[in-house]
Amino acid sequence: MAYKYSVKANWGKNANGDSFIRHEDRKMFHIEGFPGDVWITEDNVYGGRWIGRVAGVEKTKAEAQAIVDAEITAAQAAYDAESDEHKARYSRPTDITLP
Amino acid sequence: MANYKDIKGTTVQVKSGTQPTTYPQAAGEIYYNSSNGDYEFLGLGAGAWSSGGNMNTARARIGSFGTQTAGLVAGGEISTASVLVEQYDGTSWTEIADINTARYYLKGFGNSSTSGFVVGGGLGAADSGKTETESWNGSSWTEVNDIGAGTESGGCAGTSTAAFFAGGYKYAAPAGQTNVTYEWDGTNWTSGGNINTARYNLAGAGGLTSGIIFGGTSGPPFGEHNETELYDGSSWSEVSDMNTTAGHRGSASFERTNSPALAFGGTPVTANTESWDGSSWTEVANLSTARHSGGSLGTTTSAALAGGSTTPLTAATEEWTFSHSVKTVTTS
Repeated sequence: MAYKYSVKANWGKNANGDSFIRHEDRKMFHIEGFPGDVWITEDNVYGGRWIGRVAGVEKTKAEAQAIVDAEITAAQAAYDAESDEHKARYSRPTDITLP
Repeated sequence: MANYKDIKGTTVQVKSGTQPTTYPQAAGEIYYNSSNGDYEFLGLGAGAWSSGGNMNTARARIGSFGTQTAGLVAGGEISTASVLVEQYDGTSWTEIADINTARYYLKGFGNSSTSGFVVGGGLGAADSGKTETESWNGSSWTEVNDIGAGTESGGCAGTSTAAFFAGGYKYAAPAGQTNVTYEWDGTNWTSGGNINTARYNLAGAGGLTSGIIFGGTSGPPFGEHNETELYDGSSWSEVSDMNTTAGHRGSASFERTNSPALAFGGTPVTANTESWDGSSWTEVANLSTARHSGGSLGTTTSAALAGGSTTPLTAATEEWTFSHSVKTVTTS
């Protein structure tokens, strides 16, 4: 499956009840969120319309991956600075490779 | 023998062509479709997650109770333990009166967004764990009777007068995962039957005499669980495992029964959602964004997951709803 990559902060649901990701969106195309407000959408007319509707900023796959990597690296550094007791109870954030 | 009119009070309508699947429609009302010769009705389609309103404060490891349109989240972890409480109306979150004891990994249960409780939790490794139970009456929090030991991240569910808190992480020596169950009768916590697999970060749903717990973590060595157990008010029974091994899962079963139930998100960070039908788990539509440790609200047909950790903490809410579709009545 081919994807489009975009960045947009999730504004949730507005006062009119309109959602950042609508129920209908989930029926029409694949959409998935990642750290750094990165979104992948199926590369079809519906995914493209969604990016336009929410005013997302399109990125290349490499650009989107770099944003995700930066978020994960920061989270891993925070985890590594934690106590051994903490590390015994929580797993280290793992790298994410965008599809 | 009773006919359709005797049962429903109306005759079967005749309609033609493609019927709308959005409300206002008489869901479940049977009609004869003259275009294809089938008897049809408007029934539940597939569930999916969509965006709800963002919380005012991003956080994880939250206590929660209520429904998708009248829910409440309390406490949790921001950068430190929080006392903040927010109420959801199905569109937006409003900050309301704080809880008295700051903590995260607390749990919630209760009747509604105006009658509920939060219990347990902690502040991390240096803390002895929280025993406090706080009661919400719609306008303020009042401390009531504690659970027996400071415990965080248990599986918790039930009404304001009949609930359970099972398992969790107990800080007092010997520290670690526990198999203890506490039962709430509206006034006091007393001991119940032990769960079979000691663990923390498990999810709970249902009610005191029809409860369900699933998933969780334990260690050392650190690891996640997929075990499911059912409670009858006195003992826990192991049943079919989840398909996905995960801790910190969200759960929705405001139906007050151990079937159906819904599990979503979790660690290792996942968007996976699974539906329990009383005998097995089935994977259904994923969350939009993988996350764990959010606040869960609602039922298996109308749920919400608020906040949690997507690696950074998030304020985002996702709502689980069903579309409707035309179903054909089959008679043989």
